[in-house]
Amino acid sequence: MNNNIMMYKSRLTYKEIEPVLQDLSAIKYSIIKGEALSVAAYNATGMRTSSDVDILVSRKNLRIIEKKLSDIGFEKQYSDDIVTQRTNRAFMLSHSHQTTPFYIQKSIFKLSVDLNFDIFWGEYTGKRVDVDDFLSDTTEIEIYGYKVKVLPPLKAMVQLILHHYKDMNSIFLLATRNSIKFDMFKDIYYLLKNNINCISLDDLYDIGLEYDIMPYIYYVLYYTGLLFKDKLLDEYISAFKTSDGESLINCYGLNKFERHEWKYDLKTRLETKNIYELIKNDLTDNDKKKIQINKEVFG
Amino acid sequence: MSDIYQIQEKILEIINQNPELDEIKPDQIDLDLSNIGMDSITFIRIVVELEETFNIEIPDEFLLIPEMNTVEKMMNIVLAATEMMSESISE
Repeated sequence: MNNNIMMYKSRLTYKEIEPVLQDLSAIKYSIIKGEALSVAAYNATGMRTSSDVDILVSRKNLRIIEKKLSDIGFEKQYSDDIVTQRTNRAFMLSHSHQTTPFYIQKSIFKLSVDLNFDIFWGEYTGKRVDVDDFLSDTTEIEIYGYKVKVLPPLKAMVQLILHHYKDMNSIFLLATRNSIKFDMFKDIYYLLKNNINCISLDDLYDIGLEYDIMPYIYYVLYYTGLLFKDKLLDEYISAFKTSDGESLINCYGLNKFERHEWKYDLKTRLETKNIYELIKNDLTDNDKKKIQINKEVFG
Repeated sequence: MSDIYQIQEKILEIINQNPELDEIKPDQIDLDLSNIGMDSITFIRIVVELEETFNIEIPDEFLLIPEMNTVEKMMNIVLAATEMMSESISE
């Protein structure tokens, strides 16, 4: 899609959700990814190829914001069957980090909002970060003239790293969304490069220890370092290198039961038009069943 | 159905209806069900069955396998959800 059209859609979406965001004084939230990341990494809106708006709230506040979006006309694609609705919601909440999208039609445009309720993937079995705590130090900025809350750069980096780790390892996303893209690593590189005072090595290391996410930081920085040659980045990669992190390199799968070894290098994964063709011979019956269920819930 | 032992019995019955799980006994209420074969698909099936059986909706923040991976945890959540339902009805 043409970048100007994406920016226009993005601006329209912010206009639509502004009343909801202004009404969220009682709950913590942050705009993540999309234009918030564009501003943080590139100091301007419109620098990323996305028109959706992603909002992070805690699970316990999810229904509050869902109702507010519904009240202003946003809809989700629901099954008519109540049991299927409930099954899909239970699956979404236990196996994902975000809801199925909310949509609203404005003239020829279908505007989309994704509600994120976790910074980890559903299958994550480690200690989860309390999302309300994670959202405790958001700051207010303006995007397209609308006041919104965003994460400070250090936490934006944490959220982005975990998001990219998930995208690079989720069998469902790899099989159906071709979820390894060059721009992911570009975002990581420029978010770090343009916020080095706020994302110092010590700060990232401390938060990595606090959240117990060191292997994931190493994994994402390692692959970023393969594409962006930079001495500063190399320092970070060396600092985060651990045996746990190294054991994840050249593998995919979000838990030990789904872990497979890549038979193809990063260049091949980036250049292929269909990652499913690269992984289909690795997949177990359980992997295929899970892909099918995810397709039914998320489309 | 408010008696804790009836709830426990019913939850055990629901879990033991799943042939892919090893049978679980009343003295194993703190056993991690992931260790006896509960995968993501079985978990969802159990959640939906619990909600239908007890006529509750499990709060979003508890719909995670680590939050509901033992009979004891499920009992506590069912009790809490039942109380929440009763309070909303009386309001």
